[in-house]
Amino acid sequence: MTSNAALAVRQDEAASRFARSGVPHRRIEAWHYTDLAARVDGDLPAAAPYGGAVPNDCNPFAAVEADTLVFANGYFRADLSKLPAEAGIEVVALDEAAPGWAREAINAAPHSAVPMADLALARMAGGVAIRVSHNLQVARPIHLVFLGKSDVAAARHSRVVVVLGTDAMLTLLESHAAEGAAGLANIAFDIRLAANAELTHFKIAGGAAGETQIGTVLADIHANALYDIAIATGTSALARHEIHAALTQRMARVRLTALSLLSGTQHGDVTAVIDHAVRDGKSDLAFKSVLAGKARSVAQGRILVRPGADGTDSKQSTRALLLSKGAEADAKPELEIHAEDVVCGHGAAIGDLDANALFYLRSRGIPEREARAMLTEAFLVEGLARLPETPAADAMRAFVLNRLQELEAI
Amino acid sequence: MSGDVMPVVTKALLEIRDLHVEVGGKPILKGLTLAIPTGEVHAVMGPNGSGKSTLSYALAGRDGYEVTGGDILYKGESLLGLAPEERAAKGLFLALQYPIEIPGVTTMTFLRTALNAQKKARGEQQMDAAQFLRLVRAKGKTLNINDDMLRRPLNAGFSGGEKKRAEILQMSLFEPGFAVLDETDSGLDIDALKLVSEGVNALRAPDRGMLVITHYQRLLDYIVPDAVHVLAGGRIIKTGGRELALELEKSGYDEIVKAAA
Repeated sequence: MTSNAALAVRQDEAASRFARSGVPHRRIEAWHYTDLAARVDGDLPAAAPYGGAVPNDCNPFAAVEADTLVFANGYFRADLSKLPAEAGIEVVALDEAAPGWAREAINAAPHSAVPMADLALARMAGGVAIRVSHNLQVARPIHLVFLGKSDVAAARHSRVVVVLGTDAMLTLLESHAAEGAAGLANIAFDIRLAANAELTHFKIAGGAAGETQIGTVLADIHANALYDIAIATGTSALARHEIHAALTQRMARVRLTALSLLSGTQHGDVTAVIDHAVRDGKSDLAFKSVLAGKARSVAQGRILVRPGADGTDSKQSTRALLLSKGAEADAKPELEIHAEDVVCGHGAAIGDLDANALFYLRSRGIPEREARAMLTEAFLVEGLARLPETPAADAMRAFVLNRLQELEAI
Repeated sequence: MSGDVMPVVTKALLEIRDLHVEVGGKPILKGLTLAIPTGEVHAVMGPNGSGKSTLSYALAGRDGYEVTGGDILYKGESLLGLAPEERAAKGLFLALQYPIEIPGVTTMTFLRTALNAQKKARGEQQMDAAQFLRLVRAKGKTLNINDDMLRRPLNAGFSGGEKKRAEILQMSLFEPGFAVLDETDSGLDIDALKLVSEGVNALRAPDRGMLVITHYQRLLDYIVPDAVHVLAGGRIIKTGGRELALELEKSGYDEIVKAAA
């Protein structure tokens, strides 16, 4: 594949790779806990375009002042969007007319093909590419709104490219809403951060009951740059968030905060694959889930420290609170270390509320239900404290606490 | 004491009658009888494994401490069948030997939630944040508890002395009618012990009773009891005055246990 190949060529290549791999299933190690093939048909027809208005009631970021990029059934809808007006930010549709920088970012080295990202490219209804020029710190977040509406089960595939120049800063918001027949939302991101750039990404994977949501991020992070992603998973039937971050220059950093609040038969999978390619990189992964009913959470953190990547500092913690006997949490930290001077830590704790703490609160007069709510919220506080003090982070906190109340009401 | 004739009308604030408690199917308390009149402080002393902690948890109504016989009466009313929170609202307080650390809940939030929950259960007016802050600051002052400590997560990272002081602060805020202090002296150095004891003594009142549970008599130098009971094998085997604690200190539990057998 040549780097400036036409989009159609890249799509054909992705299609033939996907034809060989198919929808990932449990016999593939990285998908062992999430049998996507059992749930999703790779040939699910694409959702037809629709020209509806943007529903406001399911926008968890409604209180945040932001520019918006709207996708309806996978199609990028400039007409429904509010594009950033600031000089230095480019937003272009990802099509044959897209400039070279946009097309070249797709599946760019060092990433190799990932099946669902290939499918998102091969069947892409629409996509956008965002570029922030160097030294520009964008104050207004850009909100990616993914909407779905279909009478029959259908798939919505989109691709998003984000390129930040040296010292650039951007906050990306991502939310999802769908109505009608439950379908598949499959979105892949290609993210390239130049030296000292910072991308903060808040993803709220809620508002689409019964849906299957697949999000894949392929990030290439350069010297001292930071990709900071926080994911809150709420109501979809099955969600898989897969973050591939390559730390390809010194002191590159990635930080993941995953908060999953699941009930019923929901299944939430957060998988991170961190490639410490060179020295002094830093990765910090926190997976937290609260599970009710027969919900299941999966947290996988694969850390690869390549030869010579000394000074690597990597940590991951997985904590799951099971509110019912039928809930299940799977944690799989995986460390592959080929360098000497590294710090790689991981810890996992899965269980019920602490009986001692519950008794203590009740012995002070706090009724059981309230005591349980306090302790459950306390469990999440540690994760919520990782989010910054910004309106976007506040919106995410509100979503999480609201969803927590829903879980407790069950 | 077991031979005493119980008066039909008792003035006891807390009365434990022939209490049998099992933990995990194993009998721990085997007919414990004890009465604490209003305004008095009684001590229960006993060797390890005698059932001291079981007694305190059974009084507080903890799950897993199954009362298989007897009764616990507070102001003449049975506490059996009441949840821990209901007992707290009625005025029972248990200061724990090992106060629980709860990261993620600040001490201040916990104290206000607990106090208001008790008030709500009693049909009293709840306190707003400003009223509560004034109250907790005033109460905290004498126990050397400042705003910084109140802002920290409940007991998390507190020293042994800080935890016990926080327990006594709770007691002074909730103003319980009856307080059980379970091994309040454990893990305290002499200065912390003095401070905590002063806090407890300040809460002695004509309309309040206390039960101080301890292994060592040291605590009773500071919190001087009106009566001392010896607990062994799940029963009270001897009752006496202050001097009984000193006798235990001198001769140990073995002799008294043997003599009672």
